[in-house]
Amino acid sequence: MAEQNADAFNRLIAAGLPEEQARVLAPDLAELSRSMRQARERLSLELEPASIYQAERR
Amino acid sequence: MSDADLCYLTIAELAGLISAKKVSPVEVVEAQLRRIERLNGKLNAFITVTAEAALAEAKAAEREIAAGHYRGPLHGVPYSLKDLYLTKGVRTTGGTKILADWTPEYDSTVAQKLKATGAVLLGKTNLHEFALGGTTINPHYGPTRNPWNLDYVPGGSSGGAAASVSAGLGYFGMGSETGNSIRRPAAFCGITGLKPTYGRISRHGMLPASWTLDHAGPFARSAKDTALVLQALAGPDWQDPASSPAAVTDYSARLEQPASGLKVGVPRAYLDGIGPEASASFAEALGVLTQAGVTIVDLALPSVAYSAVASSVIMLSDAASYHADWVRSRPDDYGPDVLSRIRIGLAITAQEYVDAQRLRRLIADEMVKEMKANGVDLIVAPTAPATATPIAGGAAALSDKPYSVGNHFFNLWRLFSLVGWPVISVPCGFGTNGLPLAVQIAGRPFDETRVIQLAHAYQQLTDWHRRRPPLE
Repeated sequence: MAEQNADAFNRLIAAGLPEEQARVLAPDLAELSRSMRQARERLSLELEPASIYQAERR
Repeated sequence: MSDADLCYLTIAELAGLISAKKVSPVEVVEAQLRRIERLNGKLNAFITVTAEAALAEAKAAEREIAAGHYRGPLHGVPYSLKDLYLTKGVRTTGGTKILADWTPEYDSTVAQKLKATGAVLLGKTNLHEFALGGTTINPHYGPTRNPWNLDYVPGGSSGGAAASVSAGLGYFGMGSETGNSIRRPAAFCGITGLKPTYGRISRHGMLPASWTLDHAGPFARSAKDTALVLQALAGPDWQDPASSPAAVTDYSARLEQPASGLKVGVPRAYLDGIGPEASASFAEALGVLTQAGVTIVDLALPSVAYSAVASSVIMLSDAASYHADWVRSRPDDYGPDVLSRIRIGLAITAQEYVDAQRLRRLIADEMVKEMKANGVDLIVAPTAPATATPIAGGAAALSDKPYSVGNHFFNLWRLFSLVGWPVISVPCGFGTNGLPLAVQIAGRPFDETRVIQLAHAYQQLTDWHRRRPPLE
């Protein structure tokens, strides 16, 4: 957990945040990234990004 | 008829009186302006009231109708716009200090289309700053208050629009939804809110929260009324790249058809942890639907567990792209909660963003597959896990879970805007604190007609949507 928070903290610093703010927001960003890593297990290679959304395809 | 009774008519009822020349639009607008004058100080639902222009528009409508040129069911009907719809010559703040003095030089497509119907704009309603939050506790324009209890939030981000319709200030109000910003305020304020299919109503001329998640949609006093507003606004618009060319249907077509024969699915796995009152009122609502001949089955949708986080990644990345320059040059002009959200968006990776878009596809494909496999027409769930929360509790009182995976209710808050499917929220009861509870009905893309049909059938059998908050 501490390692994930540190990674999130570093990303926030790289995005230009002041240290104090980065420290406050790091746990939220770490949780988001942890959830996305978990979600990634569900993604198959043939599932292309739907970056242009087309609701009528459904 | 008293001012209050006049102001609480449905659009359908008012249109009948206006078209028959039993009530004049001027009389209606004057009653509405008196009511706004009396109640807006308490509610803070409007940021800007356009009284003079509204009276002029009402007089024009009266002249036209007297001359035999009745345009249709919105002619002469007063309404409001969330203050992120651009309005030519009328200040548009976005609920932000940054745009406090901005007066656009053109109308959003929604404002333009509503002008063409002859509807009368009463003003621009308060919202969560830049539509990026769920409370409408706005640090620049003050909090909007829930008409059912002034110490509670109306929900957000379209809190002003929902509070205004709930309080009888306008017969409909236009809101917008990126995560749950139509459904949450509709539920908390005890009114009906429709979020149509992504691309069904043009977003041209709307300040964005997230380009690939934003939807425009109406608040009104009944499902039937939302059909009338949608009819006026649906359709392609080359100025919105996400606007759909799909054919516009008659959204009132199924209103008189019985709901019997419809089959609805309940995503039961995500209802664990909702409050006992929301749970009981939802069970009662299912009972009403069963009596109406609707078949109810449980629907397993395991991928929905990723809806909240996928929605958050897309929303915050899009918001970071839009706000990056202002956040770096004018951070002190943002409220702390919105600033924090955008700053998280600045640090989301490109891979996380693309993965979230792929998850969106995965979730929608699973929903289609499961609905087909079970012969299900619509999905039904509680709109909110509990009633509105106290203003004093801030955003934390909402207990949202935007970044976590699991079988938690917050996924249902975000699901339908993430996949872009049409969904309506209708009132279905009250908590012991006197605040409203609600149920949501969702359908496949562009199946607004069936969504509205079931909501209308429910409202024919219940009177929750007819209740008025204790403001008189």
